[in-house]
Amino acid sequence: MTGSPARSEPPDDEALRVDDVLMTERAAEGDEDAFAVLVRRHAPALLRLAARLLGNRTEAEDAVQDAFVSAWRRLPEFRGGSSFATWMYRIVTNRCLNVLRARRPQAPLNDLPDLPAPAHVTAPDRITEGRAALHDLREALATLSPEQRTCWTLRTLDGRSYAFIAKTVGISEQAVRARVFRARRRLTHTLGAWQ
Amino acid sequence: MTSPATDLRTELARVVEDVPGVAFLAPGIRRRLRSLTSASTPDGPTPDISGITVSGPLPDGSRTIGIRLVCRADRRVLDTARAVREAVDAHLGGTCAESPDRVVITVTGAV
Amino acid sequence: MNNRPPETRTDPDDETLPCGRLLSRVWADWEDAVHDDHTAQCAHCRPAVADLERLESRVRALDAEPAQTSFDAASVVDRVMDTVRLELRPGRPLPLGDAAEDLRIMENAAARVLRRAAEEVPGVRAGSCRLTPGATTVEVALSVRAPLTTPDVRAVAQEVRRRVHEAADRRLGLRLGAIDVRVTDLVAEAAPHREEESSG
Repeated sequence: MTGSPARSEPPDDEALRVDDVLMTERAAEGDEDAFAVLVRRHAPALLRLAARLLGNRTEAEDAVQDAFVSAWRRLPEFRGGSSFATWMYRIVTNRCLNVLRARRPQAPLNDLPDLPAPAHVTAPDRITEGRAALHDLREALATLSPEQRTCWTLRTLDGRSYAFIAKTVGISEQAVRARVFRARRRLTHTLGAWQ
Repeated sequence: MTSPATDLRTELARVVEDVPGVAFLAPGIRRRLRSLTSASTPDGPTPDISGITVSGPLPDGSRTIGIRLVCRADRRVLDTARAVREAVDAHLGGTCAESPDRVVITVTGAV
Repeated sequence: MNNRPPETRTDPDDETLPCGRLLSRVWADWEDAVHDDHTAQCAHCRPAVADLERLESRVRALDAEPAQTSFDAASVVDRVMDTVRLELRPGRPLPLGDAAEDLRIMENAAARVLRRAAEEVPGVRAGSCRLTPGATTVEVALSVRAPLTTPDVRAVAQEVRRRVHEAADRRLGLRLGAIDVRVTDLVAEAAPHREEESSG
């Protein structure tokens, strides 16, 4: 892969992981101070994840807030089958998936050959050109289905394995691969129009 | 808007908060939301008396008074709770000696 | 063109390149860093890989935009905790002193004091602490982590039990029955709470 993407997760630290387990046990028993420690520790990485999935800072903050509140309500049933970080990652991803699903589709999904032609860039200024390209990329992202966008984001931006994504989203690994492939195909088509 | 019950709760709130070892009465929603409304007055003209509840009176004239409070951690919690009971009994005895009120004291935290 | 028959598509959205290779496979090989002579030289595979590489680099630029990287984490934390404080779970009331005294302490408040007492044993960290009221006493089930270097785990559990009993008596006034201390893990010692707690 070209460069390794920065994963949206707290530093990999054994002591922190042990502390997470303890804080999760306490929070599950109603200790809100322990929960506050977990929220402070995990919020930055989860905000990064949500912003990648939604492409919008305000929506990302709302999604992460809702995810933590939902986690607090569900903690008494949390059995520690996974780490708190993995559990939250799953809740945030699925919350964002629902936000994407609730958005009005921005373009029909089966119009690959008719993607809107990007505005022709004549300015020699590379910054302007870069901005226009990013704008086009953002628009192209909006035409992906919520499922495609989610799988592709976790794979490409968050550097997750197909197996991890499959578990997070709750579909087969093969389905994840198909969605990432379709997202890439659509996005490279858009990109192709820039050449 | 005050009623006899509100007056009693306000009186008891003062009595309880004066007992050594009591940090504060268990906060109600209004105070718990303070971080949302930090621009408003800190305590306001009316104290938060949600930590005190009065139910009844029953036909025999008895009431149940519930007191929820947060103790200071540097004092034995049981001793503080007993001191609160004494202070409340003394206050009720002073105002309405004949009523056999039941007082239930619950400690919700130690800080 | 190579001589092999075209690969079979399993995904209707897949594309068979003129050389017979599936686009999905070319990209998967690139992703898995699988190199073969065909892809390196093929006039169809190479541009396909170049397309994907260009996409990936554009995407990284988008991902580095301030809108994607700067958040008000502190305000999210505050809003979460405001809601949590409206939905507290204090646990059950436990009897303080004699049952007839009508004095009680909430399970959660007592558990905090007992966990803190357990953590006064050097290196010990406390997790779950469940309190169950019995007829006249309260039973404790506490799980702790002890340092990896602990020479005698039973002695540590005994010391935790002693401190918990003492704290219940002297700090709370709670009559304890059985105190079940479980050392669930031995862990490398490290500073438990660190700077990230204050980051905003």
